[in-house]
Amino acid sequence: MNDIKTVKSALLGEKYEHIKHKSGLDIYVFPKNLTTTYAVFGTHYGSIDNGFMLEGDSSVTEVPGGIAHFLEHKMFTNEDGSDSFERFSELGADANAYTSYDKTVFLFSCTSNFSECLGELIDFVTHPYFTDESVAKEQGIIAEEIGMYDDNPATRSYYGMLEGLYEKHDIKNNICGTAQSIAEITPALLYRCHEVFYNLSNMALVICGNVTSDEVLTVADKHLKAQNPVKIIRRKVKESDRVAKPRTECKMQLAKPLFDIGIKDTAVPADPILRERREVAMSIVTDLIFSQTGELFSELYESGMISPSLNSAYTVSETFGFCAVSGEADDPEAVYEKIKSYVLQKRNEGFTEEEFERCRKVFYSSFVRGLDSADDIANDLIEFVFDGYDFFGYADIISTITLDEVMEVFRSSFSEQCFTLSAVFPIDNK
Amino acid sequence: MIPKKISAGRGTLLAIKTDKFKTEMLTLTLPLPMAQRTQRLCTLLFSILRRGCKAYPDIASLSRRLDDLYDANIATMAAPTGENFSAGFACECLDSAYVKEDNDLLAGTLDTLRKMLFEPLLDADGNFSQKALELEKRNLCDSIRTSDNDPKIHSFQLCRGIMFEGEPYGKRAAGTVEDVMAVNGKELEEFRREYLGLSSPTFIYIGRRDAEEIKALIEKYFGDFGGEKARLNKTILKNAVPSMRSVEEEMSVLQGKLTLGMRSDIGAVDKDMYAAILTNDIFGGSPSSKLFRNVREKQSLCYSCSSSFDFVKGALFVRSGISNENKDRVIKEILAQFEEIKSGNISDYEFECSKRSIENYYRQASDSAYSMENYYRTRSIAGIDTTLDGAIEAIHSVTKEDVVRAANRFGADTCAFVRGNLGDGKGYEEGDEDE
Repeated sequence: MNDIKTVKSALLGEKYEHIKHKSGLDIYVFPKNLTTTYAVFGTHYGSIDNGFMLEGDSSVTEVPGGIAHFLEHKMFTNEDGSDSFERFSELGADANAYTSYDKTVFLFSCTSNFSECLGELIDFVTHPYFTDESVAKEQGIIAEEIGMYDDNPATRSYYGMLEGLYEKHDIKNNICGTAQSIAEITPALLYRCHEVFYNLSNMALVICGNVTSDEVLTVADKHLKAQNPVKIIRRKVKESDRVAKPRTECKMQLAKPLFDIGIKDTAVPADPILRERREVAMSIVTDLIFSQTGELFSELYESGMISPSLNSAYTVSETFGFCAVSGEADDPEAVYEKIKSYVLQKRNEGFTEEEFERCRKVFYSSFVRGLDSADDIANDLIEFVFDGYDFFGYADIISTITLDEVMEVFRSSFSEQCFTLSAVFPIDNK
Repeated sequence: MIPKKISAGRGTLLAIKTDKFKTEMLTLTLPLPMAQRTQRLCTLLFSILRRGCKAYPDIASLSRRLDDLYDANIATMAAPTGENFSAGFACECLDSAYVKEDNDLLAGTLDTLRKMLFEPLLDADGNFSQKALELEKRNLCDSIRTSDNDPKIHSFQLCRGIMFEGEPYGKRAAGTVEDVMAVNGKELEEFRREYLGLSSPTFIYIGRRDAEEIKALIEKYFGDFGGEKARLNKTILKNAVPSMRSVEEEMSVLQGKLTLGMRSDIGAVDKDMYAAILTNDIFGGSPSSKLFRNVREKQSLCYSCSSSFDFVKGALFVRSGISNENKDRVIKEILAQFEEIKSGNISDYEFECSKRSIENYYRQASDSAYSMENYYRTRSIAGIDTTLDGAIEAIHSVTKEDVVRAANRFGADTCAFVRGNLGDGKGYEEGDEDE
């Protein structure tokens, strides 16, 4: 039997249905009066899951870096020689996929043939097929993809920051892996990863658009076979309360130095309810410090120390958390010192209620804006599901969180030993 | 959703009434003939206006004002369309129905833009401050240098520069670093006054309100925006040169970047325009395309190889990131795949997939205010009034014969390759430094 629960938000005037499907898969149907229907089928498995075992296994399976992303690429090839990209094209739908640190997501958007598209999505993601020949071919394509990212100064700067932040955690490694690591990938390893992580108990399906749960269930009942759930034990590493390296740098072909400043969060709660609240608090702190409204940005910009865009974000998952600030500057070191001293000063001084309330408006607005797009809703909802968060609860936290709570989080983090600077300089400049 | 077209202020309003979104959007743009001086001054003017105005005299106070309006957004726009471009502003904010207080967020956003545009912060001589201008000039020069150092952008610019030599379309938008550095505060303030009356504005609204209500808002805040209709450039349409030109440069990167440009005399109002859009999609516009399936999937020559079509200029560009040693093979294969289309070797699968893909694209555009605005603004400046539904019908009626005819109006014109000089085994040198 399928178990269906409706989740509503009076504040936002929206609702979705959570279906515990008899196969073991969690399905979420978010109705929206749009022309486009958007579906994402994902697994809670990403680039950081390179050491794992199932309950009952005697040893940890170690796999090469980049295998989750490699597996994502290979899933589109089917046993009968067909390619699922092409099948979606025949149906007039756009298909795609992406791999992040902690999830792999396959998706399509369509304006017709929804049921056929959903059936195709479920089928190709649940039916792996790999050969030595197809793996070798994909190694060539992904090596070019890695080359593309290696040539991107912003990507290099960002990964430099992660290397600075983390000593052992797999998050510091490129999601695509390296030319060496992907050369170690074999069909047997891909099948093993699929068997463990593409179990329906570790996956979720989210559909947003002009669609009903009944339509979704008709397809799901036909295409999904019940599976015994698995309990995955992921390798966990103990990271220090300090950054691994305070500075990382390299030289590349570019005009003006780029920088990424990372601030490690060393107190990420294991409990998802507490983590969701911390995510809101840390995101507000990040915005209060670095947004264009604040005095830090004005000072850096008006003095010509940085280019117009200073981007900041707080990223968190079960095993890591950090705030990242990126931009362009002639002297990244001077910007770094300025930011560190400003942060330490604001930890003592605090922010005003007026600044805090303005920031609350910005966060509320951002969440509401996201509800205009089927794409944003589906991708955000699957992320919330894997993180164990409450989707509408996020807006409730934004409405109820207090300045005192935000300041307490701020004062217990952002210490000097948690800062790292990654910079990319032009060749022959420094 | 068919836009309602009425006059508003000194221009035309296209209003799309819909309750699909929790936001409202109003854009104000002036269509202008493409000229480096205008584009350079527009870029500098827009960036200096974003630094503040009399009412909100610095970046922080202007940002606070917009944050108080629930993070309302005022973005500047300067988008090319053939030999012309549209320059203006996009105001986007939450629909006031989704906030607790009684506050017309759109009116507040328009009021802020009016203050930025009509009441700027000037020095005692009535000019923009030299200090602020120097910073913005430096930022613009940085962005020019950044483009020059990005192999993908540089390859594209190289190709365009040769393909469209002597045509406004081929020139770099803002000109050179020297051109930018020569601008002074007086010239910029004179340009601001000139800009406000340069041409008849196009206003596009997407949201829940009636066109008449938006017309009243426009007339309240922007009744004096725009002026005489500017004489726009006629788009220059030319066929490709008889023999493809090639250019190659080196950069310190791993991967080579290829841009292969093709030209046709198919413009925005040509009977083959929709057939050319379909030709591009069959060639390299989607995962079902010949380039994706043959160059990437069958031959594993690259990660990315796709094409795009500028329907106003009749130009098609193939762009790919490849290993240096594959350059000749990739160019040969790209040209061979286009010859297939010219010869009519288009499978039913390729033809039908491309049709559905484009139809799907137009249908999906109606789910995004930004996509709809972009569609109608671009077509408005190109002199086309086809709605999204009209475009779907037009694509639907294209035949394979139409595609073959359109493809035969294209020729390979210029191939630009930026060779990655670290790509021959040298690689990057790492320079980590521990403290």
